Amino acid sequence: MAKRAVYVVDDEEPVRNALKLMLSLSGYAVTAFDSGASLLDAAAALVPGAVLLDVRMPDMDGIEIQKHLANRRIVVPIIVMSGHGDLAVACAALQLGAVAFLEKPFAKATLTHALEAAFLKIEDPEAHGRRLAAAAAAVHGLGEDDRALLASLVAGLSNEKIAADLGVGAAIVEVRRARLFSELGVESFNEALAMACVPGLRDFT
Amino acid sequence: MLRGPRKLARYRPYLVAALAVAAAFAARAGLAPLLEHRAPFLIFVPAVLFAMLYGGRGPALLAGFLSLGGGLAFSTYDPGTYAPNIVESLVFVLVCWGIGAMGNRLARQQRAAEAEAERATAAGEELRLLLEGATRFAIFMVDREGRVTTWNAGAERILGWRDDEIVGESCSRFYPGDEASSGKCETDLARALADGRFAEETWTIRKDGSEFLADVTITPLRRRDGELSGYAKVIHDVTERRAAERALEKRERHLHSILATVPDAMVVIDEQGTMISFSAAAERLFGYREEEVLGRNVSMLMPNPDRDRHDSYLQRYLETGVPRIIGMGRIVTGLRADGTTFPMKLSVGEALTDEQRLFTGFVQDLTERNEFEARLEQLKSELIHVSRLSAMGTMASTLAHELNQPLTAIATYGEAAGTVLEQPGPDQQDMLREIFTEITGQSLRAGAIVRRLRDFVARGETVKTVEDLPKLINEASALALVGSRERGVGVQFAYDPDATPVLVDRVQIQQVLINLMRNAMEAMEGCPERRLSVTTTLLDPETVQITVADTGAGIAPEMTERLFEAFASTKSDGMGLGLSICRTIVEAHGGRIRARPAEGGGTEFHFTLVRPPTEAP
Repeated sequence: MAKRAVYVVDDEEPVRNALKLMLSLSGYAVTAFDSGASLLDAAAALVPGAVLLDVRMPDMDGIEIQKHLANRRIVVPIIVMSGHGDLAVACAALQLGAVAFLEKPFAKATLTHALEAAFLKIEDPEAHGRRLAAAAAAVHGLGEDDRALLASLVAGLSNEKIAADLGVGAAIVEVRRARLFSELGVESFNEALAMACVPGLRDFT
Repeated sequence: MLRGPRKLARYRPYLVAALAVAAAFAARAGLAPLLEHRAPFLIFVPAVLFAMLYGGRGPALLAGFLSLGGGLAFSTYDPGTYAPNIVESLVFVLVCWGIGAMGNRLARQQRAAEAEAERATAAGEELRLLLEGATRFAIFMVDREGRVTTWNAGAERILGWRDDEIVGESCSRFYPGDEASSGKCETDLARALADGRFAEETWTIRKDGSEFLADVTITPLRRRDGELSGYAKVIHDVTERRAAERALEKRERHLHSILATVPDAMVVIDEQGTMISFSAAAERLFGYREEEVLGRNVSMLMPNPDRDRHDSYLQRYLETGVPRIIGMGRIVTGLRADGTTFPMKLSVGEALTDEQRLFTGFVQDLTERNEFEARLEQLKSELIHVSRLSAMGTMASTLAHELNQPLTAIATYGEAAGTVLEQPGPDQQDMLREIFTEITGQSLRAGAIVRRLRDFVARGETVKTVEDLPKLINEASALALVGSRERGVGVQFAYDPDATPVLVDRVQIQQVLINLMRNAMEAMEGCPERRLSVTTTLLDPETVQITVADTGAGIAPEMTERLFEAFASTKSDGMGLGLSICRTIVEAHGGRIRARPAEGGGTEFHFTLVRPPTEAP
C-alpha cells in the first residue's frame, strides 16, 4: 500500500519542517506548502490526501483556502490548526467540512487521531458520513438544557459566565458539562466542538 | 434860582407855627371878655399841637415859646392872681413838653415806616427779578376765583402766552379739555386752600394746544390779616426728566430681568465687601432672601477661614492691585443659610463706575457637577479598564499565536525525536542532533518573542514632547482630585522652579500621576489625617524627581517587593495593574519609580523624568 499523502500548509518554516519530519517518520508522504496559494496551484495534480491547514497566515487564511478548494470541487479532508483557540474560526472551519480542529501545540496522538478521521473520509466516505450523521443525531437528541449549554460552550463563554446566565452555581455548570459530554460520547471540549459544528447543523449556533 | 423857594420851604413850618399861635392869640383876645383871665394857655395848646404835627419839633418849640408869651399876656390881666398863673404857665410848659415827646415818637415811627416801605419795595423788586429770571419755572398768581393776576417770563416760555394775553384769564386754560370742563382748576385751588399746599404731576396744556407733563404746585396766599388774596402756582416741565427716569427704570428692569434668568448666582459687592445686589439664583443657591443680605458683608456666604479673611483679601487687592481671584475662576466653598457648605466655582469681575468700585461675583454650584464628574471619572476608569483588558486581549491573542508557533515546532520535533529513537538506524544520531538543534532554536525564538512583546507594551507609540511639569501635574490633578474635598483630603503642591520642563509623553505621565494620586487618596480612606502632597525637585541637571506622598496606612513590608509587579494588589477590587503600568511607563521614559515609607506614616512614591537636553549656547 502506498504511503498516505499529507499536505502541510503553514507560513512558518520551523513548523512546516517539524511536521514534515515527524509525519515522514510516522510513514506519511508529506508535502509542505508555505501558503494557501501554492497549495491551490498544485492541488489539481496531487493525489488524494489529508490537508493540515494553519488558520492564521498572511495573504490567505485557512478558511479562505477551504472555500477555494470547495469552489473547485476538490474534496479533500482538511484538518485545521490554530494557535489562537479562536472558537468561532474553528467552528466555521468545521462547518465548511473540516474533519478536525487542532489547537497548537498538539500531541502526536491528537494529530494521528485527526488523520485517521481524515483518511476515513477518503477511504470510506460512507463510514465518515455515518459518523457525521450520528454526531448530528446526538446533538439533535440533546435536551433543551444541554443544547443551551453546548451553544454557550461553543460561543466561548467561560463557566462563570454560563453559570451567571443560567442563574446557577459554577459547580452545577461543571456537572452539567460532564453530563453533556457523556451524552455526546466525547471526552474533550474539542470533540464536543467538532460535533456541534458538523455541516448541516449550521442553524445550531 | 432854586435857592429862594427851597429856603422858604425850610422855614415854612416855623411861619405856619407862628401863624397858628397868632391865630390862637387872636381867638383868645376875641374871647377875653368872656373868659377874662381864666384858662389863658388852653387855647394855645391846639396851636402847639398843630405846629408839632405840621412841622415837627422845631416849629412846635417856636409855637410853644410864642404861646407861653401869649398866654402870659392874658394871665397878667389881674395881678392879684399872679401866683395861680405861674402854676398854669408851668402846666402849659409841661403840656408842650408832652406834645414834643409825642411828636418825637411820631417822627421816629414815621421814619421807621418809611424805611420799611423802602425795604419792602426793594424786596419786591428782587422777588420780581427772581421770578423773571426763573425761566425754567412758570410762576404766576391767580386770584381767589382762579383768574391769572401775574405772569413771569418762565410762564411765557413754558406755557406760551404773553402776560397781556393771559392776565385775567381763568386758570382752567392750562388744563386739558375734560379736566377744564370738570372744574379741576377750582377743585385744585380748594384743595390747596384746605391743605395749605397742593402739588401733583399732571398733563398741562400750552397755548398751542400741545400737552406736557408738569410738576404743579399751588400755594394759597394770605394777607397779613389772614384773608385769602389768591394763589401762587409754580409749573415745571418734567416731561424730559420723567422720560429719562422711565427709560432708566425700564433699563434697570430689563437688566434685572436678564440677571434674574442668569443660571449662575450673582452677588455684587462694593469695596467694603458689602453686598448691594443678590440675584434670584443666588437666593436659591444660598437660601437667603435678597433683603436679608443687602447691606451685610459678603463673608457671611463663606465658611472659615475665608470668612474671617475676606476683608483682608479685599484690602490687599485694593492696596496692591494684584488680583488673586478677579478675572479668573476659582473653586471655593460656599456657606448656605442652613449652615451647610458646598463646592462652587467663583468668577469675579471688577467694575469701576464714577463713584465706586464694584465687584461682581458669579457663582456656579459644583455639587451636581462634582457628582457628575465623579460618575464620569468612574465611567472613564471603567473604560480605561475595559480598554486595557481589550488591549490585553489583543496582546494575549498575538502572544498566543507568536508563542504557539515555536511551541508547535518544539512539540512536534519532540514527538519526532521519540519516533527516531524507536527506529535505530545509521543516521539516527545525526537526525537527533538536527532535531535538538531545532528545538533549542525554537525555544530561543519563543523567548525572543516574549521580550519583543514586553518592549511593545513598554514603548507603544509614545510621542515625547517638552512639557511644563507644574502644568502637567495641575492638569492631571484636576482629574485625579475629583471628590478629594468630599473625602476631606487636603492637597499641597510644591514645585521647584528649576525642575521643569521635562521630555515626556504627556498622556502617559499624566496617567502615572493620576494613578499615584488616586492610589494615595484611596490609601487614606478612614485615616484620621488625610494629606496628599505632590513635590517636584531637581536631582541633577538632567533629572527631575516627582514625589507623591500620602498620610495613609502605609504599605505592608511583604508588598513593597512586589508592589510594581502585575496582578499584585492589596485592593479587593484591584487588578494590580496600575503600578506595573506606571513602572512600565516611567521606565520607558528612562526614569525609575520606587516607593518607600514616608516620615510620620504613609507612603511616598518617587519617580524620575528626564529633562530635555539644553540647547548649545
